[in-house]
Amino acid sequence: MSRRRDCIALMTAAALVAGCSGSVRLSGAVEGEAPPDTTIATAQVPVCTDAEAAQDATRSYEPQEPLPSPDEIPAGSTMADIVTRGKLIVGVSGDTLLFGARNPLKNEIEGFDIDMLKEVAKALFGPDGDSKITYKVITYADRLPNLEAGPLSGGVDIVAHTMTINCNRWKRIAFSTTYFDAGQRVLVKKDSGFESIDDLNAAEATVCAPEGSTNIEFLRSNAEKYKKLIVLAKPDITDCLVAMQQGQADAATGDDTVLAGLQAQDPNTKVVGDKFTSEPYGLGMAKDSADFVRFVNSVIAEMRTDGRWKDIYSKWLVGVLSNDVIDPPPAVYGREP
Amino acid sequence: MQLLGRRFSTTSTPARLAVLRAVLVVLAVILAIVGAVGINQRTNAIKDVRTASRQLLALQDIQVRIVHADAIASSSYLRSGQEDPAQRTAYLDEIATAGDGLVAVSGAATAADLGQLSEASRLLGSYVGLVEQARANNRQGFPVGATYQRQANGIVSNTDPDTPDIVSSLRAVEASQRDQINESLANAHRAGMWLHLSGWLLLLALVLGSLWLSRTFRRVINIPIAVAAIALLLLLVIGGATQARAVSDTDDAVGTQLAGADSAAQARAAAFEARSQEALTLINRGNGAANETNWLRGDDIVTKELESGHGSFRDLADSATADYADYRKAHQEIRRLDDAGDWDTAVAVSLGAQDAPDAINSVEAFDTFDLTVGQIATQEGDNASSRLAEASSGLSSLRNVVFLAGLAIAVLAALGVGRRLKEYR
Repeated sequence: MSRRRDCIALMTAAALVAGCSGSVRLSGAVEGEAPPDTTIATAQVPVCTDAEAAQDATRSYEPQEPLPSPDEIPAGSTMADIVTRGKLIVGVSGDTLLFGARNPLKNEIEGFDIDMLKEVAKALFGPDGDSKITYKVITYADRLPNLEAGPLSGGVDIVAHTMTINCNRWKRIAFSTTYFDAGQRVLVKKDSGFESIDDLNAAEATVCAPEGSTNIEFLRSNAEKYKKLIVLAKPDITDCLVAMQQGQADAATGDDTVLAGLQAQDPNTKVVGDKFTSEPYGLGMAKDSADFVRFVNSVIAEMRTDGRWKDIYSKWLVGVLSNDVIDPPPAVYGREP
Repeated sequence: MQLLGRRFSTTSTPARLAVLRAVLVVLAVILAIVGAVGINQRTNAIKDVRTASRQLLALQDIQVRIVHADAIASSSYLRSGQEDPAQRTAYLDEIATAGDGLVAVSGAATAADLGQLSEASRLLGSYVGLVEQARANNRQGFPVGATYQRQANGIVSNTDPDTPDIVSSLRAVEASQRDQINESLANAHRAGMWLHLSGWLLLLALVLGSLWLSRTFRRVINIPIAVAAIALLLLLVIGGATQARAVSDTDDAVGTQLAGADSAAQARAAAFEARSQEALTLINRGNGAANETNWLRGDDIVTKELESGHGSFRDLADSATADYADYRKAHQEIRRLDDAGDWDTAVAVSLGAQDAPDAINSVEAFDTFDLTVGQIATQEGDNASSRLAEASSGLSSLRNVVFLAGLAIAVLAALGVGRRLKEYR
């Protein structure tokens, strides 16, 4: 206000020729700044030697025989710690439909991976074991760090998160035997007439895949074979379903498990063709808890033979990935802790 | 000098008197015309400031409504099928009002601005479509709805300069309104100088003329010229002060009130964008790092805008700052819960179904903040508008006074010099 009075006084008394200099301006919009990303890059990730990588990564520890009943869990074991705590802390996906996704109507996480974990919980706690699970929804990138941290440091006991068993991951964590054999396939529109990736290639169709995924890498590294395909890169596989729904893509490619989830969301699509890669899924556990791995392997071994695995497959995947129930993937043992 | 008449030689006293009379009359008429035109230009410049200010406030209202609608849509997504009917109505109202607003502001827009506004209208149509797709998928429990919701949010605003978005389009038009305001303000400052230039020149001529007259005719005072000089001095002093007041009122209206409204509207818009981003971090299930970065960016704008200005509404601004600080605490709790894998509680806190520590309810804190900042924006905007209206209306009567006074001075000067001239006939 004093500036204003000065201005009037100046004009009145001295009666300057020009008006008071126009220093008032409306300044532009403020730009927001975010602090730089402080995420610390993961320390050197151990990598397998060629000799190690040549071995079968799906080999796991021998199963614990016989599987102890809930009241015979050996004292001092990893399983005894969990039972004493009264909670099995698990890391899962929250948005992989059919494997691990929240059902908004029931407000529960459900799927193939979740049912696998429920069987482990029942083996630990008895028939009501599935009520003793604490779910932690984690990202792909958080799967290994959560196992490395362990339940006492905010991590988890076990991860079921469409996680492929491979040699490099074995350096950081331990896996169960393969509980599901996934592989890359294609999702097409139901009435398109495409039955395989070769059909799409021949028709010079547009195929969508997530940027940075092994799926898009497969198409690029086999560019000679699929040279007629038009590859559309999107940030995420669900963006590929949207691209199909909006007419930008004829097909999407990814792991069949993920594609099954997309098909479940759009009845006008279907998963076709054979798998052209192999992605064996395993349940992840801490590297130093071989006893727990053997316990879980024993649970899965029973599920393979008593029909529970087939029940779970039939509940989630019949009619989506296959018309009939398939056989569970065989267990491969022989790894020493 | 031929024009002045054949009877006088140019060096004779009557000829000099005639020249003096002509000079004074011409200068007085120039004052009447140039002064009135100058004041008129100043009045128009102030009116232009007001028109552009109203356009700016209308654009910001549209922007706030759209980002508010998006914040509602993103939060409602978290409720899955159980969305709050009141929220749904609020969403639809905001979209409808924003659409009407776009039509209204387009009526007064320049060609360049019109391009941006029709882009915003087109994008708003796509946005609504994507939100409905997201909603339909979400209600069936399909996670692909999240992708539609994310795409919809990207249409409202995104950080990629090559991808058009509604907020960028509106901000471009807002920037052009700010330029318009600054330009009109500069015009308002410049326009008054001609009154002063011609006025002081005339006063000088009157003073020198009457000095010459008193020396030549040995009379102390030529009454009509003296009256003219005094009247002119008064006109210059009073007119100068009136104009200075009008200009400084305009400066104040722009520099304080409009700037306050502008800043409050930006704080509100940024806060709603942050709220949308918060919901998206939860919708994206731990893949929301980019959304959290956007939240921090919005948070930074809110903080900066609340710190700046609002002198006349310091109490309101302080209470808004306190409410926002509560909301920020709740947000940090939401992030902590989600990062720890407790998504359900994070969502409950975000939707206000559960309190954050210190009994902070995120929805209540945010809504109180928004209400207060909205009050600041409305009141500052209204004050700016009425102040600008006063500033320009005060000048209209001055224009008439200057015009009539100029003519009266011309008559008085002609009379005063004419009396001496008569003595030679």
